[in-house]
Amino acid sequence: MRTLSLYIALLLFFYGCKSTTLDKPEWLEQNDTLFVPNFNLVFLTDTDWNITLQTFIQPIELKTRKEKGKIIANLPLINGLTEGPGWIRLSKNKTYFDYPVIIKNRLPLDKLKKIYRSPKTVNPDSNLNQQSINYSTDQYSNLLLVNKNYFFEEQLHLNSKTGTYYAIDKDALSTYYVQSGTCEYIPIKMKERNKDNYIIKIGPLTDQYQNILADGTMIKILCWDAKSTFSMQAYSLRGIANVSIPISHSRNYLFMAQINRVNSSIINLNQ
Amino acid sequence: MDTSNNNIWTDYLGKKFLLVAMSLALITHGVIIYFTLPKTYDAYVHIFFADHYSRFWFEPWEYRWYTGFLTISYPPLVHQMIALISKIFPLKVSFCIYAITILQILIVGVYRFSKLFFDKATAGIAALLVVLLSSIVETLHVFGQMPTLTGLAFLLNALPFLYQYLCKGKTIYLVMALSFFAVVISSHHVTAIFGVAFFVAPTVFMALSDGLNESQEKKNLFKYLYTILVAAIKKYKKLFIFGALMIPLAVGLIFPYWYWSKTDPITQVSIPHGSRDNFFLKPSSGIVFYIIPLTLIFALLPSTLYSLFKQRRFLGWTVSFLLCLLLGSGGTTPLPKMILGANAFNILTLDRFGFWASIIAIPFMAKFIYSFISGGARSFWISRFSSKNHFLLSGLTGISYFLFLIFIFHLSSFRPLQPKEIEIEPIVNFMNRDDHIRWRFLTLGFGDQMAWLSANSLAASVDGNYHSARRLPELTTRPVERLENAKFSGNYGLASLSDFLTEAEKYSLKYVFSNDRYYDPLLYYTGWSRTIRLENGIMVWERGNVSTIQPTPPKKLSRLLKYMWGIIPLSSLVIASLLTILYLKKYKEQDYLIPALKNQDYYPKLIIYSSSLLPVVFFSCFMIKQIYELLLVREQKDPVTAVLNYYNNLDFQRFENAFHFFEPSPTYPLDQYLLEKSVSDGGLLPSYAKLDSIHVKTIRTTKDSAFCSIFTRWNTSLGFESKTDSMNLVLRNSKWYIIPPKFKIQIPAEQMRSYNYVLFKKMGKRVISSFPTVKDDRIKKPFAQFIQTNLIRNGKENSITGEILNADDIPINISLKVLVRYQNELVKTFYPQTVFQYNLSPKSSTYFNITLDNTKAMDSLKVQSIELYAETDVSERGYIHGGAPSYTVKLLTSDKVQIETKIYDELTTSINIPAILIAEKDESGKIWQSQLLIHKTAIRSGLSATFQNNVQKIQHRAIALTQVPLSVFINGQKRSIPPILQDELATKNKGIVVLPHCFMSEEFYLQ
Repeated sequence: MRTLSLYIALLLFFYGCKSTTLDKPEWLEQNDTLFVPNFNLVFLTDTDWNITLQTFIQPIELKTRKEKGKIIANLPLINGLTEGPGWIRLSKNKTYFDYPVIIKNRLPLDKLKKIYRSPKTVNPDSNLNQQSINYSTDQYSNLLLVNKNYFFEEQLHLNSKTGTYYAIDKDALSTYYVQSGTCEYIPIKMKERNKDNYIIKIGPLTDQYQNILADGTMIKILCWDAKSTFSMQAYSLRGIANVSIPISHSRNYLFMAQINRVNSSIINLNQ
Repeated sequence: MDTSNNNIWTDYLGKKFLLVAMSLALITHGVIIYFTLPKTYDAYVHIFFADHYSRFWFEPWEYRWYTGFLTISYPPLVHQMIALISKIFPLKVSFCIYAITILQILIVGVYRFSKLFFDKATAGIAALLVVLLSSIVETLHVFGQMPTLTGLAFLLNALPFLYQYLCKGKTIYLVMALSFFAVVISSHHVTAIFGVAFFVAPTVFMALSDGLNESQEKKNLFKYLYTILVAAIKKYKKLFIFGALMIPLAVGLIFPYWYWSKTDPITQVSIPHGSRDNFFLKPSSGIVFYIIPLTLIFALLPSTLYSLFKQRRFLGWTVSFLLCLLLGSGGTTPLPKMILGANAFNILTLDRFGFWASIIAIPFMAKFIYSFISGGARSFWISRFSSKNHFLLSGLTGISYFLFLIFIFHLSSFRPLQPKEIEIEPIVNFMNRDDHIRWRFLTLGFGDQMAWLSANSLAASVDGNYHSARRLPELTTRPVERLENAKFSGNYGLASLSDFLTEAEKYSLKYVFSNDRYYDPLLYYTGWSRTIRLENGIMVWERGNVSTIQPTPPKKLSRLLKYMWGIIPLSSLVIASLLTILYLKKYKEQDYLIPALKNQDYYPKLIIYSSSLLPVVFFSCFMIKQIYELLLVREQKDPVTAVLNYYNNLDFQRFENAFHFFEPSPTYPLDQYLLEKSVSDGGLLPSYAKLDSIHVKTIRTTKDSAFCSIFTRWNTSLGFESKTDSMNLVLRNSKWYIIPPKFKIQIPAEQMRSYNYVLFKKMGKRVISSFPTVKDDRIKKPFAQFIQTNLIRNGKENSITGEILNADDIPINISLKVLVRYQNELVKTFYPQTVFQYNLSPKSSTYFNITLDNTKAMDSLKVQSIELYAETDVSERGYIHGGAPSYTVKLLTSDKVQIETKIYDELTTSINIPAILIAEKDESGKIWQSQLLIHKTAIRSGLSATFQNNVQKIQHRAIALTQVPLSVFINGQKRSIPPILQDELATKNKGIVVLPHCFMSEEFYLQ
């Protein structure tokens, strides 16, 4: 009897482990296109399916309710979605069924103007031309037709003045930038001589369009005499750098500033 | 006494001892292990493996270490069991639960194993010995070798079944033996392999011997061995069945492991291990791997050997014990290498043999201890010296051994094996945020805690802590244990680390978490920038221009093998457990043995004296030696000793201790010493170096004074540096003191200093969303320009030299790479090492020098073309290279110049490592070579330091190779190079131009 009860328990155990096969529910009034919002998807089924709408960028869980052998799904509180191919997925544990659809918005949505500038950063040393691509989207990033075209492209010639410019007003992401170019000339003069140091002013440093060079531009300072060479690095701020050279380092030295391959005039600190 | 009564009593006593041992283990080891675990060598590695199985049970590909490896390279049972427990408890707790469970099984195993030799009371003492045995304490609490202990625990439980199968012939014993062996195989392959030689063979021998009658035993040794051989032939069926079943078990249970070792054999340079040292030459290794685990074994060696040699049935165990003891002595004698062969000797860690010797000795030690406590040896002592003396001797032995055990538990405090515990949460959080997990990381100075970090994160590291799985050539070609502790592997370690740091792009290595500033100079000069100090004090270093991890296809393994690996080893434990229940219920017999145990409790006088006294002598001497070394060593007994100990304290930054070596003086207090040190110290040698060797030479000495010259060699992350110092010493009150050197102070003229520079901030992702960065937020690749590039051949050496400019308006990070294409389609990649400034401020330039293959290799392979690639990235910081150098160049010979450099620190912080990057130019302005020249000591703000370097000029003997096409690319686009311009400054300075390239540790500058 003990052995028999063991077998029965085993049988029950294996029966309990057996999984049932689920049939694909029928979608009533199935349509290839799903218009958003205000849709009701009706499936003939007795199973509690989890129903999601998969757009090509994200899955969205639909709200479901059961009614006499049917399950009805809809998507409240949303005006629109990113249009394009998608699918309805009914899933239960590891079983799922997909129903491909084309998602379309039922109502016209707000039009948002977009401008894409390329290159975003322009250096006047090379050229000041820029490509502008104009287009419009709705709030769900669906491209909208404007004058029978999706895109309008134009070539722009930018002003050489450095700065941060807005392609669309108050849209920080649409900004583009004109940088300053290579230094054209390095003005240099001794500003003062105190007890311990020479103070040398370098600048204003500008490019060929009279733009002030970028903050942090490195200026190589060179002092030398027949015997030794003294080198230092300074960083410009608003086009100017003031360099303090200890007098002990600069007896009878010649002084020069250098940015990339541009050299300043050579001055003698003791004159 | 009635024998049956005696058996009942010993049975009762044995079981009582067993229960006491198990309870004692639970309340001692069970509590302590949670606290000793973080400081063990191996525990975290096994926890990491357990974490793998916890996450990916049926997927053996582990991508987190070494760019990926297969976990089938180690038997899985231990890790899988911890993984299962970790489904309920945290990983560390799971490990502790598992460890204490295994210790309980081991205690039962030793009890059952000892019953093969002696009565149950002795076996009970043996079980108690497991709780206290230094080798087991060390294996558990210092080494954390859980698979070794698991394998041993089940092996010892299997042996009595095997013995009974051979003696009694019942199938149930064979089944039980095989089921326990299956667990051994699934837990630890090395125990399974060597267990056959050192444990199974002696058991078989003993079983065969026990089948002989008394007259056969009394024959001479050769005849006796012949009789055993005959007995083995008679039992050939049993032996054959056992062997025939063991082989498929050994192969089948962990078949994926054998498959891996066959298809992906370990071909790496052997990693040095302390257990292979000559213990006379390296006593520290001897203490850890031989003395500590085996002191009790040596103390009781006379009685153990007496017992072993007394009965012929123990002959196999005698051989096994002595062989294990010999192999465990590592490289002290050439014998282990001869026995194992050079290959096995260099792969195996030999301490395990000593450990096994200690296990074999347990029953024999227990036998004597039992005799000493309540048997013949006790009676002998009492009859000769009274019970009071016996009690005193027992107490002294117990106390000295107890102190010895406490010493082992605190071994890591006396001899730190691991860095202090690191909080890993800040690191895990850092890797999880901002997609940092898409790159690999490397830890430095973490010790085995790097495995704990990996177990808690899904981020991948280029390093790892399981040497057999390493396949990256940068690791396998050098005897380096881990990159993480490269400084302990000398030149090889730093060469490997340097390769990874410079070739970071190759392995998508972007972050280094550093817990040891020793590595700072190497990190800085190989182009790494500090980015943030985490809340746990760990500095994060980052490398620019590193692309994210590319998907690496896992090594192909059939699904069948994956399922085998996930199911079969664990099943072996389940089956062994079920069979054990069945065995205990239905088949368990009272005694193992067919012959009655010869339970003689007799030891000769000499054995009793030696085995009773040696333990107290050994442990007392050991502890006295430790106390002497800690407290009583005369550190100032002579000038040389005083200087050596002073440097030892300096090396470990025990400045107060170091100060006590100076001659006491009211004008030179500790404050003054520390003050002088703080303003005169700092730099590569004092701050970022480890003392490698020291030689003190006494130049002159009188009765009470001495003058010494000290030659020191320092190991820095940028290579070895030597230094010579001199010291005057005086004798005061029988102690030698150092006379403080005269302090020459440099005083800056200014009372306040200022320094201007521009701070930059990369805005990064401006749109707050979980989507990847939108195109509008991407910053353009900064502009750069090659000013010149040259292919230079100087005898055997070839290099690409040149200069590159940051042409942009923002600071940039540049990475350079040279591809040499040979005619046989071989392509080799080379990177600049330390001769390059990786971070450049707007409009600044740097020289570079990239060493290529040697001339012989280049000429034999024939170069087709060379391509030089520069990738640029926006950088926020790290572009200030500090210092204002002035330099004078003297011509020493026609080809040799001396550069005298004076670096003035114009910054508001100390320059910790003053250095210059020099270039040798010819009259046309062509760069022939570049070098990084480093000064060893720091410069304080407003002060300057002068140093000299001799540089060999090469332009008159080297040649510029122009016939090889050299193309340059910036951010993937082919660029042209402008004509080389003359450099008047270089011409004035005999062809030498310099750039400052200094390291400042002040984090505000965050290089």
